Amino acid sequence: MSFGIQAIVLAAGRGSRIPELVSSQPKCLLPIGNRPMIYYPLHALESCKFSVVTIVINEGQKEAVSEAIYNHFDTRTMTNRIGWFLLPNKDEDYGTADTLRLMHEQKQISSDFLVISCDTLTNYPLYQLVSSYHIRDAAITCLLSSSNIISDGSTPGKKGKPVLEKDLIGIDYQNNDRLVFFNSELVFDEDIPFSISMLKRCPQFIIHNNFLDTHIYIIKKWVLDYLAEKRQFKSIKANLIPRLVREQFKSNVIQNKTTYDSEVENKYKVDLLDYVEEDEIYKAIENLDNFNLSHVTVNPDTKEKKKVYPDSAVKCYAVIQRDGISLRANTVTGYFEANKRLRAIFPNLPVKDKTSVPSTPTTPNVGPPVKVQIGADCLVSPSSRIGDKTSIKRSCIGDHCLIGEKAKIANCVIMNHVTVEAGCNIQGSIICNNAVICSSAEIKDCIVAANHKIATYGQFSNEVIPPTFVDASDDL
Amino acid sequence: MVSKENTVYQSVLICDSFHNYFGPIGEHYPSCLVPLINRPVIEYALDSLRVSGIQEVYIFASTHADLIRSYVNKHWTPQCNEDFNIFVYSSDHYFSLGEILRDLFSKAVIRNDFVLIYGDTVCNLPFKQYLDDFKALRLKDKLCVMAHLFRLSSPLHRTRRKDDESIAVLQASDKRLLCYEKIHLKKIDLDLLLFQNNKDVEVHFDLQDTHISICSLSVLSLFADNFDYQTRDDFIKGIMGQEEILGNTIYAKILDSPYYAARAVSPIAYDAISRDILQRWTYPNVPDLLMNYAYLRNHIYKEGISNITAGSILSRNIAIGDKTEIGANVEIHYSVLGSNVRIGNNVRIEGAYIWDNVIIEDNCTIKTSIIGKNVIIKASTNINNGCLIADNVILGPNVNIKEISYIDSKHRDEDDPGILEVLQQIDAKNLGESAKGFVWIDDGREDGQEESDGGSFSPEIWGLPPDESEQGISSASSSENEQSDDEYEYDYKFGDGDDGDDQKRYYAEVVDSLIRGIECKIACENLIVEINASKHAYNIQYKDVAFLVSRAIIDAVSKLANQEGKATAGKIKEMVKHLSPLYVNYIRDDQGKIDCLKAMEEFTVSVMNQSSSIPILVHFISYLYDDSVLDEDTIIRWHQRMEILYSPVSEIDQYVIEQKSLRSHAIMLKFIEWLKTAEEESESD
Repeated sequence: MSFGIQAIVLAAGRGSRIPELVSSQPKCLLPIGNRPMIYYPLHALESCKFSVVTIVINEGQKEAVSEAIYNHFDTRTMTNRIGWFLLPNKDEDYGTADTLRLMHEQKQISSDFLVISCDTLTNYPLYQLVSSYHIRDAAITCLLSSSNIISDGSTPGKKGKPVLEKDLIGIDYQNNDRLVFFNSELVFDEDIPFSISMLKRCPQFIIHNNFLDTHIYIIKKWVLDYLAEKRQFKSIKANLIPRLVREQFKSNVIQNKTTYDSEVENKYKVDLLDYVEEDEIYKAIENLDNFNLSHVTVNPDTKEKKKVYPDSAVKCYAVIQRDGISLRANTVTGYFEANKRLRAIFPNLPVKDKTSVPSTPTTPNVGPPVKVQIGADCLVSPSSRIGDKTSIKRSCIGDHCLIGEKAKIANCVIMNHVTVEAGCNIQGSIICNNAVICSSAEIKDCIVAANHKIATYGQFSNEVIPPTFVDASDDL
Repeated sequence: MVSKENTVYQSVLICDSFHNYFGPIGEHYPSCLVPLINRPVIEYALDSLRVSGIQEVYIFASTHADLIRSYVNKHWTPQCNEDFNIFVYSSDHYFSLGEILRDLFSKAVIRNDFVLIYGDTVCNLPFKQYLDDFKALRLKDKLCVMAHLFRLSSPLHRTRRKDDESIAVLQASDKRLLCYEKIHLKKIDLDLLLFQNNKDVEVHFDLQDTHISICSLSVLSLFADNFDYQTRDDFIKGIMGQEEILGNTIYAKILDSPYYAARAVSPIAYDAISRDILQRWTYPNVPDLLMNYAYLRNHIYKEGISNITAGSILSRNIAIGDKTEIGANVEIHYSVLGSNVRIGNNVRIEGAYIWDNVIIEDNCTIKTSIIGKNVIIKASTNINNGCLIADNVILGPNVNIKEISYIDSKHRDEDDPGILEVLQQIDAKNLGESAKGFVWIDDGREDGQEESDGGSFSPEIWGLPPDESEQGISSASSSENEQSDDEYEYDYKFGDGDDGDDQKRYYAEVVDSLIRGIECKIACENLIVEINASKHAYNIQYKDVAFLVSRAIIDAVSKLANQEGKATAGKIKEMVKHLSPLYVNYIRDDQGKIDCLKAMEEFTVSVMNQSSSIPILVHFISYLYDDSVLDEDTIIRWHQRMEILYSPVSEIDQYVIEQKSLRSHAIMLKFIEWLKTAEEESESD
């Protein structure tokens, strides 16, 4: 089923919020529960049978990403028709809005579209979001989650509770959950200004500061035309949505396109309302309404009535996930929580096909380990070797790891090709690819970067332990 | 002592609005004794208190206290039994709510939670239940001092007073009041912390203040402790401000249908509430249940025997009192007529409130006005929208009383017969030959009541066409919307960041003092003291001062120079010379020099008329060079390097173009050329 909308997975993020973790691989391939991050948005799209999916990645990463994807999905049963969009490697970072603009310029977007970030993990059934989009004729529909669990989590590598940037999201529950306020708290200094004209039209709303913006949006195609002109908009979340939300309170008559074109074009003034394309069906319904009214007030001059909130031409809606969990793995806390809560979010993930994991001959194939304690909530890759008498609790262990004898691992995320020697005690930490933890080291609440080696009897807590010998870019 | 089981339900009724909104009518009545559908407003309030189970009412009155006292003695005391007692206190000192509550505290008659309500309130609320609820609430939150009652109503609702608009911010879970602010401007700023510290915050603009509060005893002691609390708003603000210290909390209680509460505090509210009563929104407070009115179709109410000539049209929403006579061919819409009113033939009455014993002769038209008791309107008189006619006035015949006329039967200076006679003659022209009445002049300020009311906001005027104000809203908002288009893309002209407003004000002040300084030849030391003083007042950082002052000097000088016609080089030189100590004082390092040049350039670019302003700039630079405030290096460096000027975001391109044209202007180039050669010469020496 296509739903008439195209899905776009933004996977070209460079992980600027988690530089500690992305030194050895693209962000979208960071393992979460032994699967690459990008698996989860694709899984969400796949389970709703989206047929047109475009993945945006940086140039030069296509091979790695597509290999990772095909390792985890059975291409024969997949309904997704995956297309790729490669962002050219340039010095400047492409914002999310920049990406859309570029795709639009290259005619890569042909319909209304759904944007999902590769770091979003959600068990919300996306078809409900799509239905809501179809019902409401919204310029933009945002999926928000009322259970923001990240705020309770702890962060490896840092002391104390994480201070996370909050989004202030205002919702008008009287008007089918219209989105009336959408800004990060950092936009404001001390006060938040509200104009009286806005309050007059929307006199009651609730501002939440604990809602998670899942970064799943369904956007109308005409918004792209507007975005194409507004070159200063870099990000969907920080620029585009706040503007669209504010535009709802602008009162204006939809002007005919022809009159606009014939006027002297003013390049400096881009008015969103000139770009609004009304859905034909909704227009027809509206005309029917007017027809009924016209018996009472016959006035052909006021045919184009003023559109004010809540009937404004631009409509932004929120869809709120009340039960279930969503989270974003775009911060260390988020990434860490994602690993820990994976079972809670996706209790029914398909079991990974063992044959899809390329077996490496280096793994010595010995008999099953003895006296091993592995908690039921752990995810341990079958290609890893676990030594005798180890204890693993609430942790994820990636592919091809070697865990030595009597090691204790609790609340950890261990990526691929990690070696943990005998007698180590690791708690609440993230160990990146190819790291080596020599015997009897004690690590608590740390991040061990890729390719780093921790000496015997090393003791660390609340630290980011930097890489020693390999430059990050070499490995890509 | 009253035992706990035997709680007495008490209420405090404030019978003074602390401001006369009723103009000439307010001279005769307190707002709570104004007849509303032929019944004093206070009767509605007392009735609903009695019905809802309140046992003791303490009335506080100041203006017209004697009228209120005699009213209560006449109508209520005889019927009072054990279950409903009224006590009246009056004093001239009651000029604010704060004074009353402080006095009440010292009287020590209130023993438990009480209802605080105004005498001009029409409501149908179950106060006893609210008091019990409040008690339960206080068991949960011991520091809760007040629950304030709000009524849900859309922003355009007719009972909302435009001068009493407010925004309430509540905790979504328990309706605790987090912030309550009156709105005076088109924009309101709410503290970011409100939203950061509370998970779910409700913002309400759809709440109408009923001015009814359920208070605990500590409200009285808080008022007693804080002598600066004058109004309830002071109190709320004080509690919110000290929340962290004292921890006291205020809750909001939101009323929804079928509950009704509104204050008939002004003619607008009076009009709106009358309509609400006629249309039965206030049920059971409706004329057929409260008085002996018969309820007919189209919301027409009639009392006793009224004599209505056949052929007259009564459209809808009309109340007609006892023994009222209506002549032939009369049209009445949306109006209230008292008892013993006599209306002649061919009269048209629309939206008017006509009190008892009024006589309206033939061929009159009355629109949206209040006509006091015993008024006589002679034949062929038109009374237009928004008129307030006090008791005993006589108007007409054959005049047109223009909109929003306030007419009283007495004049303030009535002891002086001479003036009276003169006035009578003047007013006769406007009010008719056989008129008896004077145009009422507002002098409410004489007793300082207005200040205590805290309203610098001019109250709305009743009688203006309603659609005008509504259009005002939409048109104003649409134009404002365009303005606020780039709301968050701050576009202050100079300075970066949030203190732009302060900088603008500081700048304006500096320009003013400079102009004065030049004109009056004030010594520069004094100017420096002045500029420094305002620097502290507006919290300007030292690094910005050089920029602002340099810009202010060139601004002031070019203003003065242009004032006197053609700007001559000599004059400019003279003025700059006069002000040169300022430069020496404020420009102390290279950064200051660059700032100074940038400031002057920015000013020149921002001035429209470049042909005259560029020469001034060049003159300035050259004088400052001569005075060795600036040196060649800085000037040349400045000229070579284009730096982006502070400019409005929307005009940034324009600015860049103008900056380029300025830099390449012939005079400028010539000057720079000259500078360069001068430098070379000095080097070769």
